[in-house]
Amino acid sequence: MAADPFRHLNRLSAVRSDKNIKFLTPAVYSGGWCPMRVVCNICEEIEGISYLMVGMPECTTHSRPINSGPTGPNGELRWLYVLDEKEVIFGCRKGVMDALRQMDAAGARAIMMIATCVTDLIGEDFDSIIEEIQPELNARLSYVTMGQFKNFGSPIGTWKTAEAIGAYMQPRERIEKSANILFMEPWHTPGTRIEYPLIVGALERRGIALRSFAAGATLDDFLAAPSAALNLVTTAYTQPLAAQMQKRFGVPYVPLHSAFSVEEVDRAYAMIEEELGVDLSGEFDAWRDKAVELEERAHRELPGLRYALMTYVDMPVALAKYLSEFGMEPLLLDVQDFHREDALYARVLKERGFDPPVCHIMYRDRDVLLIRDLKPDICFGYISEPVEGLKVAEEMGDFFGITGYERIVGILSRIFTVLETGKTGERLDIYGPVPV
Amino acid sequence: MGLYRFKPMPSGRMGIFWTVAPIREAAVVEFGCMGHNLYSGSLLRQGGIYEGYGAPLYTTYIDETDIAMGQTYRLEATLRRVVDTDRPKVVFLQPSAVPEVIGMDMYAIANLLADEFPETKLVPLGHGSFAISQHKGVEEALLAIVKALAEDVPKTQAPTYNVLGTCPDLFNFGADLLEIERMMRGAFGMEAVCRLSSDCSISDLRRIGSSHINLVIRREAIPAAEYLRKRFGTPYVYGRPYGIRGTGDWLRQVGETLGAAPSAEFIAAEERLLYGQIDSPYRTLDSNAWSYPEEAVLTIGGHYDVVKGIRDFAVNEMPLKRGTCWCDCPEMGDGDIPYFPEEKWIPVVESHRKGYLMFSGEALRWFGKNTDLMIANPDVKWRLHPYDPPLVGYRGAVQLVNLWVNEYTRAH
Repeated sequence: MAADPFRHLNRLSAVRSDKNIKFLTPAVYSGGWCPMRVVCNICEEIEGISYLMVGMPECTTHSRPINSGPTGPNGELRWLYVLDEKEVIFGCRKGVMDALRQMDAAGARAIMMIATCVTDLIGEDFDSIIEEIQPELNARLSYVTMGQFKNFGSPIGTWKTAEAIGAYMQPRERIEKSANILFMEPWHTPGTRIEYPLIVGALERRGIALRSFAAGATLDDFLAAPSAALNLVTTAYTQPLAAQMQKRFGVPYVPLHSAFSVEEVDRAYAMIEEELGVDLSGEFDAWRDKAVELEERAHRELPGLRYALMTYVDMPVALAKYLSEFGMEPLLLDVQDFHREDALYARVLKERGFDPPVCHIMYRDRDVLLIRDLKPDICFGYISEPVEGLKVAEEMGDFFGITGYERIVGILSRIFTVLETGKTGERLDIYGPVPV
Repeated sequence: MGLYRFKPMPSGRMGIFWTVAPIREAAVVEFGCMGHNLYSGSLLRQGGIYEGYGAPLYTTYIDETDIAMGQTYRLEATLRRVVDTDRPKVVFLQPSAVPEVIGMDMYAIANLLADEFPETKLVPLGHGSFAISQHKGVEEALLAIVKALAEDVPKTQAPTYNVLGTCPDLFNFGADLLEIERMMRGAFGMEAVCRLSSDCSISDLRRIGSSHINLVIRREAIPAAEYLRKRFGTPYVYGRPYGIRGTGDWLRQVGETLGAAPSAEFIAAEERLLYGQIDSPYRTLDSNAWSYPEEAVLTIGGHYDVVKGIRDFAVNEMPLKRGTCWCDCPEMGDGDIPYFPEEKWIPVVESHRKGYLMFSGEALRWFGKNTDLMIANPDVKWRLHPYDPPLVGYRGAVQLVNLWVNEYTRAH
């Protein structure tokens, strides 16, 4: 009898961070996203932020997408500092400081230093570099350490970047009727539109001044952010920044990203109404009605169904907690990054009788065959091609940054479509009419 | 290395990785973090080494505990999985930067694990030191591969050849290889045994000693060719065939080394065709060079052997004049073609106004120059198929003239 291929995995209740999430199978094919690349992507989408990538030729070469160059559209610098064989031993402090001076002289307003594996390994002290050189520079400095050996996946790169950009912020006088939308995509494709949740438009229509932290934001947006009356967290990646801003500047936040159910969304919207002094009544009735209808159907039809969450599912533990409300049983979760709040969801899941094994899927095309052997009723996530006998809700990235009743409608509609047809179906247009 | 605006010179590890990645019937296992493997794989796909073409590229990941404890269990587990599922004849083992810093000994690991995988040969590659360039890495990999895999086999009955140094780090490697094969077929009726490394398998590598001549198309392959000469007595010809006379000379040199003259009919037919094709452009360029000599200057940077070959064709056979020439490798630069680091080539490229500028796609695009004149990586486009025009050989000669006359037309 073949050995259980899931036996080596830890259960969700035993996971405290991504450190004790094991690979489903050992060979990584072919490689994995390095969080440093995420930092570059995000910085390149923010007007006014320059970066200095500090690393080996591998990191510095591969930090550049095919269409990227040394200067951004508004003069942002994207420069690379490559360690030589001596700096690998003795550190690169002097060289990095010289590079920062050159970038400052070239007009950089804010510089994000991006430390990579070898600089993290040799323990280069970027705090001390900033402390020493900041007084002589006009450019504001911040840094992220992105050594992949201690930062497993791209989500870490995203929230660490958000926090590091937060370091540029200084206290500002509070402006009532204003809010920040914390929406930060690790892989936004330049030039493509950002799909904000419907709450954003609703607040705009009520005269709330909104500032979005997403692709296309500016350094000035971030600098002015502490003046907001409220932060709206739309992705788990920006929750740490919201917590940081609450602590440093007293800006409260509403965690829209984790409000999955109708009841939770109701509560989140009530908080927004209270904090911003707006009335949202009537705004989402059609979406809410549909969400209620689908949740009622879910309570009838989903209990006992077994599922697996594969790669490219946003907030898998939070989603599993939501699905557990309908009695769906998780067989396996791929969790790329264990968010700080995931421990709470794991506890709720366990209280409801669910404690699935957790893994990193590192060879999707082969690992999916193991998952098929679990005989799930449905899977969620990315597959490169259809697998016989496996119903998969694909394109779960559609729901990244989407919150509110529209997310409930999107997720539950997709589940029912996949269960009925075996196919993912159409992409939900949240700006269109509520689906029938 | 220091501060860079553009992509820096790739490391020796990257050169090694790119050299072994296209080899079929093998697998590559990189011990370390996962990003390099993923992005290098993407770069290879951009250059035409698509998934499934050569060796599957695996990595292990490594975390803080592995580093602190010097643990190698991930490598062992990955190897077991790869051997079990892919059944490769050879696994190339390579450390990424982190294991290299902490001094993990891939040779010792390979020795320790060899007995566990009797059907699969483990080939540790390169010390991956931080002091060597991509070019040195390619050199190391080519030599290590032939040392580890060449078997004692008799010479083929009909004369055959190997191409040494056709690696995907070199711009236009696929098209250039096809032209060399076409010419060897036309001039000598010969087929290749092993096209190291962009189009070969482990089986080809094992038979590499059976060929009658090695064609060394870049200097990084000379140590491998020397090794093969000593071990199998296989002579080699070093050089890249550029231009019309240059290609004829190269074919005659190959013939001399083989003791068999190239087909005069083939050379005559090729030359007749080419001279006809380039006649009008030649006169256009010649006339322009006479009247406006500053517009006939060729400024060129890239791999030493490529720069030298194209420049010699331009200056010796075409009416172009030598401008600034440089190479992209400090170990290769000399008085004729010096090595230019970024701070030296940026002003040359940025200030270029007249004449012909051939260099990397990245630099040409950034400074608003004609990217058709790209002869070096980093590339800025996908190269999905190898049937672009070559730059070497007879067809390469007409392509180069085509590029120059189009550039002349664009500028006027």
